[in-house]
Amino acid sequence: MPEPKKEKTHVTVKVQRQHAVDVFIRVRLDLPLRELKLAYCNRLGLDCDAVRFTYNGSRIHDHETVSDLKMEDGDVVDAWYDVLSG
Amino acid sequence: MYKMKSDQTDFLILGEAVGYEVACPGNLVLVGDEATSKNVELESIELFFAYAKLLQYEETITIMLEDGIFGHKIQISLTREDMEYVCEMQELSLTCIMLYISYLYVAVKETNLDSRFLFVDPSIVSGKFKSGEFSKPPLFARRLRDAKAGQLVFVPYNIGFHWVLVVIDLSSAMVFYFDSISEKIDKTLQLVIDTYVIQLFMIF
Repeated sequence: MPEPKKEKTHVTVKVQRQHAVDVFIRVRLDLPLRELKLAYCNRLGLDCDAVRFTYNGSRIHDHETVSDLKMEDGDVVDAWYDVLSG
Repeated sequence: MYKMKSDQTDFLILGEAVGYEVACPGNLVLVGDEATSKNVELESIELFFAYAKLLQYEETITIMLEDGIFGHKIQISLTREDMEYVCEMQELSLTCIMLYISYLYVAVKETNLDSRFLFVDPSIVSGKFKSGEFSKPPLFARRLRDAKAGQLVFVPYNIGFHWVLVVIDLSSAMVFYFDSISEKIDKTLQLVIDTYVIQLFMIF
């Protein structure tokens, strides 16, 4: 008897940034992506307000989840670290 | 009050000039026809303003910068925030600086003078080192290796909430430091310049 197919609960996404190493983060499907942002910033010691995250060219909102954005394994999230000045 | 050396006094070696503010030589300044371009400028500013208004918060404009500009292909993303900053005359983001340089490059290329200039990606020299990032000095050194004799090397640098510009003139072996709020020369930047640029001057 074939085993019932397991429902997918997590996806692994790649967060990439210019001049920095890629970070792979495994996220639960229904987790708000704010957690992903925090996890990335915590790991690299960045100020979360100064980093912008985009997926397919549009900004990721804090409350959106992986299933909202229909992300799949190996998808790439771009992170942009901005230097500001007057 | 600060010391100002006129451009008539030439520094024989770089060491003499360090720490002084040197008057910018006239041949480095390009003066355009300002009177005729005023109306065009105003119109384009209004257009830009309208465009920024239309853009949604989550939308970004992704722009590919060709490898001629910074030595390697770079993708930048312009957001509404960046545009708002410009409209409200607030901070200038890295994206704006890079985009401006790319326009400058196109303008310079039209006059076939592009071989005289070399731009250094501001993101590889600015900002503090963070874990997970590639070390910046080698990236900077690699870019400087592309320089050819007689070129002007432009290094925009963020000293922490303020942009300054360093121009390295390889033909006369001089380094110009442009700072709009005339402060002391940034220590880190001076160290970097001392380490890499003097080597560069030795080659040419």
